[in-house]
Amino acid sequence: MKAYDAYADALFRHCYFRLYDRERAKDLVQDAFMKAWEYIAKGREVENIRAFLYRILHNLIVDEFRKKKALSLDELKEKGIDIIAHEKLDQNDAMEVEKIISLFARLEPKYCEVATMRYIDDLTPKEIAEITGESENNVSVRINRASQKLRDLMQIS
Amino acid sequence: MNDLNKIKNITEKITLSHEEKIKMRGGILNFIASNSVSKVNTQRLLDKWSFFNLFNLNLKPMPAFLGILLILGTSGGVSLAAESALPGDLLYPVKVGINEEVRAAVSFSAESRANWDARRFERRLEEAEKLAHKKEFNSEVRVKMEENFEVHAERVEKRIADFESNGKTESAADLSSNFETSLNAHERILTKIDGEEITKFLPKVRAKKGSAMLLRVKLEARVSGESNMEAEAAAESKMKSAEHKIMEVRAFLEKMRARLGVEATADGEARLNEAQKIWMEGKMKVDIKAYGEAFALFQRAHRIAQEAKLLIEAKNEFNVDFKTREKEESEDKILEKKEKEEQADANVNTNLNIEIENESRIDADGNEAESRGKGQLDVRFNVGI
Repeated sequence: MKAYDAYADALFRHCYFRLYDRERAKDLVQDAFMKAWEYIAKGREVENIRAFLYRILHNLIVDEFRKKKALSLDELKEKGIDIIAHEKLDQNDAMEVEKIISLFARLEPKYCEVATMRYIDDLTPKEIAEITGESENNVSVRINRASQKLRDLMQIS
Repeated sequence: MNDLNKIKNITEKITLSHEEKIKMRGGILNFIASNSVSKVNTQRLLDKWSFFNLFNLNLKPMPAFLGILLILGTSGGVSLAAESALPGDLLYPVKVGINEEVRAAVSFSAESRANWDARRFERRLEEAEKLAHKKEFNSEVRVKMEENFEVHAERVEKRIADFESNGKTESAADLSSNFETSLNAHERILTKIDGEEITKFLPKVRAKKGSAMLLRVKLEARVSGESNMEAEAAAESKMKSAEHKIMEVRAFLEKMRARLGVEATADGEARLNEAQKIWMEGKMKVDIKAYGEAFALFQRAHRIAQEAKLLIEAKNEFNVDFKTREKEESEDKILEKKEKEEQADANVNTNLNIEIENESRIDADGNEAESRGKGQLDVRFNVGI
């Protein structure tokens, strides 16, 4: 099993690239760990803790989108993408991350979701299917379409 | 960047900072401490699920509050027991001074901090209700409760003001609407619980409710006045939020119907149907692009649904009944009354200034001023509107 630190970073990254809001992303990741704790404290077994955490986080993000409309690219530009200067991130990296955010924000939510899990979280179609509750086949098809859309957007930009 | 597989290499540099990890760890520890049944169970679970690795000694320095959490976590559920404490109980200071403060300290976003402050305020009202129900709401408790009530209400009002000044009008309107809902629902609950001291406490709650209502109306008008794009985004966001709330309360109502019976939940059902009807009106406003009006309607639908839930919970706990129609007639009257009060305050200030001016002139100039002071009536007006 991986340490808390490794899971926290990966989960945070996933949430950040779905919400584009650093503070809110931290809140949801914290909530995900708390909910995992609640589940485990009731004596329930979890086979794959990584997938379990991602599933909880995914559901929290879906709830967040239910309460608040996802930001469009225009709204995101107006709000300002808060790439915080971090010890691991130089100016060039920050620009590259902004480009990625701009690309992903142009995707429809269902494609953005699988593209984030596939290319940012490096999850397999099987793992994504387990997290979203969809069939592996549906997930694979959606990943292919999302990939094509991303390539088209990259060529345009 | 022309290869999708390179995305991971770039984005993996987005991580939590060292301080953020410590803070998040503290939040999770606090939650575990507040929700652990026993020291033995907690330790067993933490050992088993070592991925939590929450007590990693490599992380230094550890903030002071984490030290407190460790003590609480190993003290056999003190933190958990404190959660049900009421004013006057031994563990009440732990509930308010430690549990709630730690919870506040580990919230990240401004929204979650504001929501926690609103929840803390609501906890004060719930405590008043429980004490009143147990016939323990005496004059000493009332005085302390009024003090706490003001402190926590001011925190919420400050959060609303901060959102406003940072241009987050929608967040301000959201918080103010939730604040008003709390006050409205709990005022109704307290009204149903008998007690001389409760009767003395109620005017404070009502006054705050009136202010909250005025503030909410003002913020809704501001949202309405925003650019079309912003007003549309606010209306659509609120539409989703209200829909989600109605669904949540409907599921809750079904559960409670099984426990309390159809008759006991009939009032809640009626409120929820009203919320649904108002939501539909909001949807029609969106269709004709009247986003400001839609936003206000969705807020109202959200408030009514939330209030339905709070009143059903009170019914379950205290066995009291509420009538749906009371609220609708009183809202406009409350607003009108509050506006008149504010106008009356402005007039009082004007009159006081005249009197003070006279006194100052008399005090400053002694005998000579006395004769001048007596002759002067019309000095200076502080309009202050």
